[in-house]
Formats: sequence, C-alpha cells, structure tokens
Amino acid sequence: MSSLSELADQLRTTLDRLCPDELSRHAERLRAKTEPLLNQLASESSRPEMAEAAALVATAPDDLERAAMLFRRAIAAVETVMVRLGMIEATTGVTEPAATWAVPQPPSGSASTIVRGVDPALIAEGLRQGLKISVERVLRIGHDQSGRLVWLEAGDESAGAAHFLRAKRKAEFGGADVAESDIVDLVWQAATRGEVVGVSGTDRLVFETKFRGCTRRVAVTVGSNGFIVGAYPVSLEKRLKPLT
Amino acid sequence: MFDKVWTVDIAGVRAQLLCMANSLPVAALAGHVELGKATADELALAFDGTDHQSVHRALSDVQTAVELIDQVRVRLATAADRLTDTAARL
Repeated sequence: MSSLSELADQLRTTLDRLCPDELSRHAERLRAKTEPLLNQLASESSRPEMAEAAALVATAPDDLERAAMLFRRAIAAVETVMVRLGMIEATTGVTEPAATWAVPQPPSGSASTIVRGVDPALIAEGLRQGLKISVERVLRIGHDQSGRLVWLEAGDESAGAAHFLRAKRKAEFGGADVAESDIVDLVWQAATRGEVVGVSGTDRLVFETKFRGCTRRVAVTVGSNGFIVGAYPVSLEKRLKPLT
Repeated sequence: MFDKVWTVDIAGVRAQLLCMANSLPVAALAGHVELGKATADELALAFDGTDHQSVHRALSDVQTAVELIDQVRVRLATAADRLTDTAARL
C-alpha cells in the first residue's frame, strides 16, 4: 500500500508530463512565423496545394492554445484534490499557487488589484480540521494571534471580500483615506495582527493596527469557524464599547 | 504573381518550403499525444474507485486535449506533405 507521500510523488511525476507551456510556445511560433509566410506564399501562388497547406495550418494555433488550457485546468484540478486529501506537505512541487490554481474572479469592478496570498499547506490544514473552505476562492489564509486558523474568500454580496468591497463599504474606506487597493490587506492585517481595542455595533470586534505608517481601526466580523465575514473602518475618535 | 518569382529563384523557394515543412512540430505533438495518453491512464489508475468529480473533469480535459493535439498533428503532417510535394515539383 502506497503512503500518501508516495502517491503524491507519483501524481506529481504524472502531472509533470503535461507541458501546457510547450504547447503554447508551438502555437505562438506557428502564429508568429509559419502562418504569415505560408499565407503570403499561398496568396501569391496559383498552386492549390499551397492554399491547402495554409488552411491546414490556420486553425492549429488556436487548437493548441485550447489544448494547453485544458492541460492547465486538469493540473489545477488534480492539485486541488491533492490538497483536499492532505498530500500537500509531500507535494513540494506546488510552490507557485498563482500558476497552478484558478484565480477567483474578483468582485465586480473593485478588486482587480487583489493579489492572492495563499499557502496551500494552510488550506490543507483547514480541510483536515473539517472547515468548509472554498479552496479556489481563498484570497488569504493564516493564523490570528491566538493561533486560530482564519481565512478570507472572494465571497459575495453577503460575506467575504466582495461584501466589504461593495460600493457602500468602499466609500467608507475611501472616507477613511484607505485606498481601494489596500482594503483587503488592511482588513487581513487587522484581523490577524491587530490589537482588539473594543466593540462596535452589537458584537463586532474592533482591531487597531499600524498600516502604511498610519494607525487604523477596523471592525471585523470573523465567524466561529475562522471565516472572515465582513469589515468596515472605524474612526479613531469613535467611542467603542468595552470588551466584556 | 509569386509563381513568376518562383521561376526566378526556384532553389530559394524550394529551400524555404522544405524548411517550413520540417519546422512544423509534427513529431513534438506526437510526443505530447503519447504523454497525454499515459497521464490519463495513470490518473485513472491512481484515482480508481474514488468519487472525486474534479478528477473526472481533469481526466476528461486531458482526453479532450489529447484528441485536439492529435488532430492538429495530423493536419500539420498533411500540410508538411503538401509543402514537400510543392517543393519537389518545382
């Protein structure tokens, strides 16, 4: 019976056989060099076999690009399963998540500048704990100061990054002089390294942190499972409820 | 028409056609097809009996890609033949 690490090594070797980048290079060479020359020869020749050759080559670059995309998608899918199965510690080949993991669509019109900071080993840790993590939509994952695993997903209008990047919240962060491109990083820093200084609203903890040289306060709602639900900026002047 | 130029520089055009025919990545694509098939077989074996939808989709993607690459390989091989034939008839 193979161990998980042996199986992981075997799968890595298997996946390494797919070379999508090489297919893309073939496509690019055909598109940039072969096609123009062949088309020119065909258009200036009355020989039907030249036109036939040009037609045969014409669709090759797009088909090769499509094949490369399918290979990339297959690699990402298998790696995701490997994470779910807890093989990730053995799969040292997964060192560039951005290259092999599907990047989630950013919330519309807002988070195009979000750069993912995802350690697959932490996702594996969360999955082993039984957390319901949408692996391909994770934007940040890490431990807070108590050692609890917390994570931020792309989310939607009701929770996650898209929730605090909706127009109303963006305006509030903007009013606090926080650039739109900094919102995710600020919320993440506050939730994981900020100091809890009080409570806002009913039960939202307010975290204080130094961000880009300025002291900031952010109310962050973190679910009992560690999922970051929402966040909004809090003025330094605002009176907060004490911690109970 | 270019055909007139061909009569002026037949050797040059012949060399160009043969060079183009030889530069088409027919053999390389055959390699990708074989490796893709082997990959699909090994993935199917590794996940045999499991119920991971992602793996089923991955297998399907690999098989579709392999078919696409093989179709391109056949087309490029035919194109290479046409170019070689043309060069031979000059």
